[in-house]
Amino acid sequence: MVMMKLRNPHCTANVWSSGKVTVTGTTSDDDARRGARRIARSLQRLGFKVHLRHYRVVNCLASCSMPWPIDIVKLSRLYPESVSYEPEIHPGATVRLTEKAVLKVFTTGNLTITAPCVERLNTAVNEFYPKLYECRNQRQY
Amino acid sequence: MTRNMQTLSCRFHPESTLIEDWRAGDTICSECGLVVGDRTIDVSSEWRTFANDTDAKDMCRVGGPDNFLFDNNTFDTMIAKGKGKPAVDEFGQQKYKTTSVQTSSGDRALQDGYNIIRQMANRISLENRIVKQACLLYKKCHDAKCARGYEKEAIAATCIYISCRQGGMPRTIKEICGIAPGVSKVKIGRCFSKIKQELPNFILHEAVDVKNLISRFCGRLELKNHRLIVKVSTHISERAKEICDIQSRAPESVVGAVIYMACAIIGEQKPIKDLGLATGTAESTIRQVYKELSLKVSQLLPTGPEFSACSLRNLPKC
Repeated sequence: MVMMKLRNPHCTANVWSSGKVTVTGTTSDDDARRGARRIARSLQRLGFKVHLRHYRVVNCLASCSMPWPIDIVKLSRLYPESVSYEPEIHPGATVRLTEKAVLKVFTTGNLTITAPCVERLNTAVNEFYPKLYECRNQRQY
Repeated sequence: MTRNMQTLSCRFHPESTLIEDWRAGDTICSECGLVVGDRTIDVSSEWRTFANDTDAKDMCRVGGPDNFLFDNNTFDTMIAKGKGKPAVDEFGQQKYKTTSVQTSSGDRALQDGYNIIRQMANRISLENRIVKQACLLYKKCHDAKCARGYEKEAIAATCIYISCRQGGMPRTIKEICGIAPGVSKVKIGRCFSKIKQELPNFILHEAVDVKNLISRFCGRLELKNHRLIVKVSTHISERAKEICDIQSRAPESVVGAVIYMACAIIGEQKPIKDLGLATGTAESTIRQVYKELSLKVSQLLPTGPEFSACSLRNLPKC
């Protein structure tokens, strides 16, 4: 597996000898497509007879923050089926939504969302927002 | 195996009670004596066994009860010790013995797992019921195939971790790593998350119960006022959960800082290094959590006549 790094757009590509390529590290899905095309072009320039085929976005990671701190112990107690909180393993609570989105919720109010496409990232936050609001920490430290 | 339950009843007296005669295996109507069902199998014990009958021959012909730890669909044949001349060959040995117990490969995998669990549990002398729970959990994981891809030691360690927690005597993951050589904290964490997700009906009620941790770690420190410090620490940790910003901290770090504070308050201050060794956490972590706790020290302290020895004067700054 060869790792190629591009400067513009800033991304990392893992190129396997089977022809499969994984492009990671871009900040938007358009950039990811541009990066994939650049990789394909650079491979073509090297002499390999390649085409960009079966391009698809597999995983998107986004982070956002709520303006208030969150009580994750309360969150994990109110919604035990979807929220899993193990302080020994990870300081944040993992929320698995019904449709393929995973949120990591931290006490500071920061959220990390992982979903298979960009639209799902937005809907995931909207979906879970009321529950987060319910468990916000009213106390000022 | 679904079958419609056969409700036996006498055709002349459908409401009458039925008497079961074990001698003949009949079910008889109490009103007219009609035999309604025959060949009833009596599943009660065939012979009575008494506690002082250790050497007496076991007359039971069907063997012992089912062991839930193994898949009981294999039937084994055992050859009993024979008496008399034909059973013994020229050297005085039994001619026919139960040579090899043919365990199925599935059972062998389970047996390996159970041995690993027992070995690990022996290292910290866990209670029998916790070990049994861990073995049952291992069997469940094996049947549900939910921890595929993890090695046996990792699954065994995770099962011990879970059953300790379910049994009310939690062991921190770091302690489990200590008894399971070759299994890292990360692996146990991942295996645990996988089992939690995939095993149906898996309920792990409480978060790690801090009281048990406090008493165990205090025991490791060899304190003079052991009981008082445990009481004070428990009180502080419960108050701290409500008012301090220590939610995301691992339970062992919180316990370390809380015991440190309790020891300082009572006057038997222990160095952070000792606390770190007893709880298995880093000194800097304990210091950080302690800083958080010391912001609200006055609200954390217990009040009451037995806590009159507590004073805030000796509280260290760091």
